This record gives sequence, structure tokens and C-alpha cells, in this order.
Amino acid sequence: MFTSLYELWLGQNDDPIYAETIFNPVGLLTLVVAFVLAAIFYLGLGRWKAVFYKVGPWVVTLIVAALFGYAYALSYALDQTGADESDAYMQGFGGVNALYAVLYFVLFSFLLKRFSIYARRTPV
Amino acid sequence: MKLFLFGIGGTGARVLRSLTMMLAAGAKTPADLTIVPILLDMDMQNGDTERSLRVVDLYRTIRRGAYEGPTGSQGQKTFFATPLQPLGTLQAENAQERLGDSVMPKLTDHEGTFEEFLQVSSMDDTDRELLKLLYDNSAKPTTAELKLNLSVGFKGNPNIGSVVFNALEDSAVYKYFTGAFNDATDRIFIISSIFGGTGSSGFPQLVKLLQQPNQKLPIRNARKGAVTVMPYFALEDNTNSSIDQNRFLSKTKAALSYYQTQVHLDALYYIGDQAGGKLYPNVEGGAQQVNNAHVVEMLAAAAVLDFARRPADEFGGGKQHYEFGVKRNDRTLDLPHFYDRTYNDLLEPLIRFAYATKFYTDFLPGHLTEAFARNLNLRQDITTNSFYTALQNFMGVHFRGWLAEMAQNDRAFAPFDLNADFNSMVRSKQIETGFFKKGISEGFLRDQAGEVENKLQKSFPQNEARFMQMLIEVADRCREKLETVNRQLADS
Repeated sequence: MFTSLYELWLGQNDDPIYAETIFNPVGLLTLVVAFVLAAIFYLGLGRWKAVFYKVGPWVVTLIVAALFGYAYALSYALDQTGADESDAYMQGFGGVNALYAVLYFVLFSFLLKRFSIYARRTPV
Repeated sequence: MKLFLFGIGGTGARVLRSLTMMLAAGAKTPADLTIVPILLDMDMQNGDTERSLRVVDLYRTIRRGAYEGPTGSQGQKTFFATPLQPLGTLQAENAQERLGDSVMPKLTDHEGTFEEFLQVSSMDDTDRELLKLLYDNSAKPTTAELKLNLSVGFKGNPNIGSVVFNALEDSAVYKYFTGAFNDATDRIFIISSIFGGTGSSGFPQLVKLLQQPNQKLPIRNARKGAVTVMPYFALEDNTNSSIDQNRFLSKTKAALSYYQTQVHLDALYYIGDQAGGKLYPNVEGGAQQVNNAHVVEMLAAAAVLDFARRPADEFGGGKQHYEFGVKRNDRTLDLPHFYDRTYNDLLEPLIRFAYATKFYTDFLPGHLTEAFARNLNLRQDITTNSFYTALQNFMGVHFRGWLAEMAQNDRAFAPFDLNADFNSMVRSKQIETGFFKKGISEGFLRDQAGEVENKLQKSFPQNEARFMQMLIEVADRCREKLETVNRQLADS
């Protein structure tokens, strides 16, 4: 599933390692991390106290998710391909993964905010 | 149980104002109590009366929104708990005239001078001369009793008031009252002053009517009480006013001796005070008569609640007389000045309501984007919904004003400083704060409001009912933060 999501934007790489061993674990972990971040924001802090619950902190968490998505995709690809430095495809993969991290976080935000107390109306 | 509460004259209206404040705060009352306030006054434009009518109206609007919706009857009823129901909204047997829903129905259609009221021009010469013997008919406008315009009351002249109140029996308001009074458990209470004109003349007349042998049985058998407010303030000198404060004490003495033999009620409460240094403007009546609230009025209102709380079997063994005392004769009273019963029944609720007021008027406007406020749709409703505007008006204008007036009066009652922060607004007890202890901080209020509102969503889907429950719980949590209030008086 994740392979087609990435290839939609990046196209197929000549090296089959992306389709076989990179896209799925990176996609899955990005999804899990986005969920965990949203859960901490809405169910952890958002039900504990009225701290870190407004739009500003939500944007910060979103950026954290995006940075993680970019950095994790890049480092995982570097590790799996054994390359010394990243190429354009790898950079693109990091960028697209960051975009998906943002997308997942927004999606989980809208799913989880109803269970929050203080962040119930965040971001809107 | 319905308590038919007659407030006679300006003092009746001012005591009703204080009573409304205490009921709003959740002062202890029997659970089934409904108060039917009836203001009796000729002075329909009186400033004090107008203010009292306004707070009763606001109280009723708030109560309707908070408790009379589909889920409103559930949950805690602390603030605005006791219904205030105008006489005209009750069912009355043989009522020939509708009264409307004002707590101050028109006493008489007469507009004009005392002379016109008595129809002196149609009297024969003998009667007219007799009247001139009984009443001042001089050309001096401040003392000419027969020329007195009754639209501003009796200007401290009970000898005029008693004649006018003689016609009370035929008034629509009295007839409606007798028609509406049908339950054996219902009670009657009368508030009046003894040193003015309207109260001191209306009270004995009303008692006389209630005690008439031909009076209907439920009224005759009903438990009846009254609070008599004796002089507690002094007036500025005003040679143009017909109110003579030098006669306050002599009028009080004369009336008390009359009450001793002629007024037979189950419970008589007396309250008064040495006049302080702050002089009230000597205004005969009308819109300009707006006196600052005084602790005596609050304690007279406490007499109403005390009477309502007493079990019926406590009465019946003759007249009971009650007076009120504080621990020490200081010019400024605070929470420690009062004994336990007053503190627990009246002042504890006032502390909670003061927190609620500060939360609503100071904290809430700056936090309308919080989740709890948005769930309640406060951003829009707070300025447009009649429940919230009434609450803002009641708490922000009237309750705060009432507290401020009592604090500035002499004798003063100044338990709160609502301009201070939450941690120091109760004067006799500061909430200690430190690096890890913030007391009642903005964060604390956000936490509590958010948590409580979230908890109440299922059981109170209607926003106004949920908001009132939230207000009650947040005030309770603020009160918990205050912990035990020191009740010992500091050395003077």
C-alpha cells in the first residue's frame, strides 16, 4: 500500500530495494509516529491539563511530525541502499514522507480531537 | 411551600434586593420553597424599587435558562436555586383582575394629592375642618400634609400612609393574594421599616387585614412573620424635604409600643443599627431615591430565610421575637464578625458566588477561544443570548455593585475585594502561593472549567444548563482552594 503512495509522487526507482524494503516500513512507522504524536497531543496532554493545547503548539507538533518524516525516510533509505550520500530520489522520498507525516497527523487530529478535553477545538 | 413576601415601601424594596442577591448565591433555604415577592408602595418611580424589580427580573431570566430546560431540573441547584414567582403568575380563585407578572402590582389608581385621595372637595364643612385639625394644611410645601403628592409615597408620614393603606383591602393586589393563598403549608412574611412613612403605616394595616375574623381560613391559620427595620442610617440636612430624621426614634418608639399590643404574628424579627457617619441624601422619593445597600438590609433579608427554614411546629406558642447580633461592634464587618449559623447559611454561599462572579466577569471574557467556551458557543451567545446577558448584568453590575455599596457604607460589610486577584479576593483569608503552588491561577481555572464542562456534556446537552452547572462546580473548586477561613477576630 505504501509503495503505491510513494510511487504516485516519485515514480518507480530503478533499484527495487525501495519497493521491496524501504517504502513499507518507512510508511508504516511514519503513520505510527503521527498517531503517537496526535495521541500525546489530544489524549495525553489534551486530557491532563490546559497546557500545550492551542493552535500554536499543534503547529509545532505538526512540524515535528514533518521533520521526523523527512529525517527518518532519508536515514532509512541511506541505510538500506548503503549509499554514502543522498541523491535526488532519496531527497524527494524524504520530502514526500514529510508530506505524508503531515497528512497523517492532520487526519489523526480530526479523529482524536473529540476525545480531548482542552484541545477539543484545536486546530478548528 | 410558598412564602408570600410583602415588602412595604422603600425598605421593603431594598431588603428584597439583598434577598435576591443571597438567593442567587444559594443561601440555605428549604428545598421546596417558592418565594412570592409582593412590593407595596405608592412610589412607583422609586429608584430603590426600580433596582429591586430589575434584579428580580434578571434572577428569573437566569433561573429559567439554567433550570427550566429539558435537563435543567437535574444536577446541583446552588446558584439561583429558589424560584421567585410574581403573584400575578399564580392561580387565584375569583380573581377579577389580572395582575401581570410584576412583583410590584399597582396599589391604587389614584394619582394626585392626599387631599384629592380623601375627596376633601366633596366633604361637608364639618368634615373638612376636622381634617384640617388632624393634618397640616399650611402653605409651606414641606409640611403641608393634605397637599402631599402621593405618587412619591408618604414621605415619612405614617399618619397619611395609614389612611391610604386602609383601602388595601379593596385593592386588586390584595384580592388576588387572598384568592391565590390556598395551601395550609404556605406562609406570609412582611418586610417594613418602622421609621418611615409607607412601611410603618402599611405594616399594621396589612397585619390587621390578615388577622380579621372573617379572613379565609388558610390565611388566618398560616404561619406569619415580619421583620421590622428600625433606624439604621442618617440623612443629610435638607430643608426642602418633608422627611424629618429627628422624628425617626420617636416614631420608632411609638410604633413599637403599638406593635406590642396590636400586632400578633408568629415571629417578629427586629433589626436596626446606630447610624454611621455616611449620610444618605434626603430625597423624598421618586427615581432619585437610590440609597446604597447596607448590611442591615442583608440581615433583614436573612430574617426572611430564617423564618422560611423554621419548622412549622416551632411556632404556635405565642409570639417569638428575634434580634440579630454580631461578635464585635466594629464599623467594618468581615466574615469573622458573624456567628456560625449566619456564616454557614449565608456567608459561605456568598464566598462561592463571589468566586463565580469573578470567574464570569473577569476570567471568561478573555478565554472565549478555550474548548469549553467554544463547546458552549459562548463566543456568540455571551453577547446575544438573554441568559448570558442577564447573568452578566446580574453579576457584573448588580451583585458587584451591591457588594461595593455595602463595603462603602457605614457600618460597612466588606468581606471581598473583587478587584484583587482570585487568591486574595477574600479579605479574611489569602490563598498562599509559591513557586509550585499557584493557587487559583488562570491555568487552574482553565483546567477546572475544561474538565467540568467535558464531564457535563452528556448529562446537560442544553448549553445554559451546562454552563450553570459548570459555574457551580468551578466556584466549589475555588472554594476548596481557599481551605478553612479564619473565623477568629483579630485584635482591634
